[in-house]
Amino acid sequence: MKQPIIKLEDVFKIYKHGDVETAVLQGVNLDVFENTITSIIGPSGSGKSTLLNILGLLDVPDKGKMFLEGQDTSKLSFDDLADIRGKRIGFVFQQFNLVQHLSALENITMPMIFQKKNEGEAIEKGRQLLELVNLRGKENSRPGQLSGGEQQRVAIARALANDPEIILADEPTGNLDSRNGQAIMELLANLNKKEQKTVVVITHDSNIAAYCDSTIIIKDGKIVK
Amino acid sequence: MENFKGLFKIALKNLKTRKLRSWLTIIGIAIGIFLVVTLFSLSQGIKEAVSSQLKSLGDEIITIMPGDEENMFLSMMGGVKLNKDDIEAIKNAEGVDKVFPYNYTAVTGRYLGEAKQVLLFSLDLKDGLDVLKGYQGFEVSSGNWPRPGRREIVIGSYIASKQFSTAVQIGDIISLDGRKVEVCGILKSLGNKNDDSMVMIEESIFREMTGIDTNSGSQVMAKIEEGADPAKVAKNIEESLSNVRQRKRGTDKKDFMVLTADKMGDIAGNVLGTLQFAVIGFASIAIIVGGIGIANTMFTSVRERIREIGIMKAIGAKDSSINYIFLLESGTIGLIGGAGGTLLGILFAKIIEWYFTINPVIALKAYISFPIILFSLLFSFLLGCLFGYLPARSAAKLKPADSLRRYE
Repeated sequence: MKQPIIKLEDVFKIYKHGDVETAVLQGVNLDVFENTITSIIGPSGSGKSTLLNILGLLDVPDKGKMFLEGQDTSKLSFDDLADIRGKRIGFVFQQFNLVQHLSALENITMPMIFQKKNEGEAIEKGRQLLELVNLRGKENSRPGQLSGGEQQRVAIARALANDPEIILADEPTGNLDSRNGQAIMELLANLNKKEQKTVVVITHDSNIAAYCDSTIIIKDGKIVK
Repeated sequence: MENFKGLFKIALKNLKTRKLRSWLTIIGIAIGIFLVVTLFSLSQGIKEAVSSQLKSLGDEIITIMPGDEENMFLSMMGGVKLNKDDIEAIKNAEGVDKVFPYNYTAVTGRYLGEAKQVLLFSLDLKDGLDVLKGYQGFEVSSGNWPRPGRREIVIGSYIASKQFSTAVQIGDIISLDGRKVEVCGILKSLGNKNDDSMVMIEESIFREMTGIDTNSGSQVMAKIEEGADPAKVAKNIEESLSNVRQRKRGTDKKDFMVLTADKMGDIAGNVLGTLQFAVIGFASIAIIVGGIGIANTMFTSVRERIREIGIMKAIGAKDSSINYIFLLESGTIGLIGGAGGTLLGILFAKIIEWYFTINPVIALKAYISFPIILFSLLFSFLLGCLFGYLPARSAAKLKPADSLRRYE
């Protein structure tokens, strides 16, 4: 059988507030295969954002392991994790998370600066990506001058900057109207189909499942389906 | 190796986003650097002026003063003198060529009804004039030196042109403490008000007018023989003077100073060095205050940008990249402040220098050199980095998942 690109093995994440411990993830097992588009659906408070943090190496499990192409990531240093995030994972967030005082193009080139790419190449690549997300001509616009849908497209372009294999999207349509939300989902689905990206979408919106190869349902920190 | 160019651009953008705050912090650091640059260049200028003045005195001249080395100013003001025996002893010391006692007193000069206090110096036309001309750079720019036994004076250029509301000319009559004397020469300017305010009169007339015994002196200059070693001659003078004093007065306490040009330079250098150190020390406090301003600004900035830091980390920034972005920001604040402060400091020092060219109390040149400028720029950049270090580290240590959860 084919090896999963992402594999979670009995992952626990526990938050402490004073003496109270809350297990947000309680033994999650999960396989995500290469070149698929997967949705993880769950109500708010089900632990799906925590799950995304772990999948995206933004956080480490308190117990259990996370494998990326068979490599155990739980022993890696912060810098190694940052390096993997920069090179192999692209993030798309509900809040767009663009840097407000930078232009669209500068937001897109930023991940390339962290990977020490040369400036000319980074700008060239940034322009191509803007074109890919249909935002040609918006290079110098600040996030505040763009609509929600446009901002999310900039964020997707930024996620693609270093040609990652994996795109992780956390409620990518949550702040958008249905028309824009649809456009964003089509864009993500296209990245999967045309660019062979592995896409994981976390959402509470069950309509999104329609775009996906498989759907995982999470409830109270456990995978129920 | 980090992509410093890219990180620097990000840092600059951040500073531009918070323009007012950045400028206020920059002003804070600029004031500190301004003070240090001004005070350093002026105090260094004073040091150089004094040392060049001492150098103009020449190695061949040894100055002997009464009093204790530790209490130099006390004996200067107390009117203690070296008497005739002392002067004879100095003259007899091996290696001494000529001896010239220095006598002066304040008198009231009156010119065209206007009265001013001036310092009247006794001029020994034989040995003294040689020393003045040959080793101290005195020259008459117009007229002549006084002739023996005549009531004639030479005056400094400041007295001639600035002291009285009407310029004094050669051949004019000035009254000194009520006695009329004729101006026979005007001295070339030596570039400082003290030297240019001298009035000199021949020794015998000085004695007659003031009643001061010119065989003694409040200061004695000795010119050493050609080729003699100043240090050795100074020692000879010391011995000879001690012997005479012990024999004639029965005192074995050494209460006089024998100063070679080197030694005077040392003493002056020490005094001025301490002064400079103190002055710059105080100015440094302003720099520290500016530095704390940088730290404060940077901590605020980190706090405001937690989410942004989370974003940068999510898209692949390592701890070190975040660290460098913030260090480059604080370093740039320091550098711009340093550049502004240095520029203002040089400008201000030059204004002071210009003021003293117009009012030549002392020949003060602002001391400015390229290494000093380079050093103050580098220093202010590093200062920014130093005070930005803790804020930058706190930013770099933020955990990406936690910081992304913060909403602005």
